Formats: sequence, structure tokens, C-alpha cells
Amino acid sequence: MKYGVVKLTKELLRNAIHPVTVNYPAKKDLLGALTEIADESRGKHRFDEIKCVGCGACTIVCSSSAITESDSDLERTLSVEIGRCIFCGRCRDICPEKGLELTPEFEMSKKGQSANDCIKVEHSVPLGTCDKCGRTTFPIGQIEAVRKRVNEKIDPANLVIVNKDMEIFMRYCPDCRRSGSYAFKTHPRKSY
Amino acid sequence: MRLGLKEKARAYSPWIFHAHAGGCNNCDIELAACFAPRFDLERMGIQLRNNPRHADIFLVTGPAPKQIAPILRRVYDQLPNPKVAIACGSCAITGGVYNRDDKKPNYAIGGPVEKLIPIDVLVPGCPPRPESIIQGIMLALEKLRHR
Repeated sequence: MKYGVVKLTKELLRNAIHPVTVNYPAKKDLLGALTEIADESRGKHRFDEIKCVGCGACTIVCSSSAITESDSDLERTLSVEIGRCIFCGRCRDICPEKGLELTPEFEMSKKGQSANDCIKVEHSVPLGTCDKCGRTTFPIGQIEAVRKRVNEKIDPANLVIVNKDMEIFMRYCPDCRRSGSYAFKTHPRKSY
Repeated sequence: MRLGLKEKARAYSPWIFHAHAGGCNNCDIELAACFAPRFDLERMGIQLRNNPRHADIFLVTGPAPKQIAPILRRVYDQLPNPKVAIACGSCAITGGVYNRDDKKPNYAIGGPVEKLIPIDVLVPGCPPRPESIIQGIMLALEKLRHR
């Protein structure tokens, strides 16, 4: 009985200094502690302006198809529909350039009548053009990223030939590559 | 706009009716956490009610399958005016994982909640954090004050 009273007093004192109930909006308590949010907490998306190359791997892996890509004449736009996203983090895990991250920001509620009023996170990257037909091909950053990755992983014996072929291939769209592969005089083994 | 005594009182003690329309029960667990000691919505005068006729705020979770769709509308009509509706969670807003493509809707889903009843506040997240739900309710109160 006596021990119970001591325990209760301890609990009461601790609650007076450091209450269990957190303030909303977040406010510091007497000890100066805020509501702690884990760094790994998954919230609003953020595209890295430099690292993201716009390859679109996140749109393929998205389990609720919240991330969509749309190409215009000059640039590709990736947009995340927050009202559809389930914050699983697969887009961040799959990103080959580590250009997408989920910030711990969670306050995303909004007034609005329909899903279109929800927050959207958008990012656009410039697209390259084909030298032959003038159509838009791939994002410029993605071409450079692929070139860099091939150079890292290729067998050094093939490095010179492959680099020479890539110089030609990277400038054209997939259709022009196919139709002009004889005229380019590239290496016959194209399995890289 | 000048608020009367009734409007002021209403904004300081709104009662919530929670409609569970399908879904995976995860938003409901987070809503339960809102009323637990850590986030304690009741200190703001907000109570969870099981009767739509006592409530001011209609909080929907889940993608509203075809079976529940007409009932959801009926329950919404039972709330006395003025009232606000909150769509809580990704499922309630767009259908989420249950309704991946708007052009090819899921055969079992009666539409996202916005098709059935007028929505005032959107709370995204899967599930939304309790703080997020509290923020949504605070936004709903701003609407309720001027209705």
C-alpha cells in the first residue's frame, strides 16, 4: 500500500513536468522536448533537383499508381498524387540514382471537394531529341547515368568498342537506331 | 461574419460520427489512437459518437464498396445540419490500392467517397498519422463555424 502511494506520486510528478499528452500544434514542453518523429517516418515526397534523372522506375514500381509520368515536347514531368499514395517507400528503394526521398513531413490535410484538391508533388527534367528524326527520346540525365553505369560494369576488354558504339547510339531514338543500325557500322554484338 | 452563441458553442464541442466504409481497419486504429491519452482529442471537446443524429462531423474511412454505398448516403442524410464530412485515408479520397486506375474502376468499389457524399476536408495518408487527423478535424471546424 505504502509502495503504491510512492509509485503514484512519482508518476504524478513525472506527468507534471513531462506530460503524456502531446500538444497540437507541436509545442515544446517544460523540458524543451518536442513531439518526436522518427527520421525513417515516411511522409511527403521530395525529388532531388540534381540527382533525379527522370527514368520513371518509380512509376513502374508504385503499388497504387500514385506516381505518373507525362512527356511534353521539352520535358518529362513526374507527379506524385498524395491522395492516392500509400507511403510504402518502394519508389525510394527502387530509385537507381537515390533521387527521391520521403521526408517525415506528415501534415498534408487540406480543404477541398475532390481528390484533385489534394497536394501534388511535381518534378520535371529536360528531354533529349533524336538527331535524325527530331523526336524527343529520353531525359538527358538518364542517358548520362546509363553511360556512366555501363562504363563501371563493363569488361575492360570491350570498353573501347562499347564506348564508340554508345557515342552513336545515344544520339538517336529507338526507331532510328533499328533502321540505321547497318549504316552506323557499329559492333555486331549488342548484348551489353 | 458575426458568430452567434449557438455557432460558437458548436465549434467548441463538435461530435464525430465515424463511418467505416470497407477498408482495412488501419485508419480506424489511428482514429482510436486520437482519442487515447497521447493525442487526447477530448480535451478539445471533441467526442466520438455512435449515433449520427448527435454528430456534427462525418468521418469516413475506406473505399466504400458497392454494398455500403447506399447506406453511407443514408447515414450522411441523418446528420443534422450544419455538418461537414471528412474523407480520412487514401482509400476514401481516391480508392487507393483498391482503385488503381480511374478509367478502369474496380468492380467491387462503389466509387471513392466523393462520388457519394459532398466532402469538405481531405486527410491523405495510409494510414494518416493521428496528428494528421487532428489537423483535418481542425480544418473541418473552420468550415463548420461559417456554415
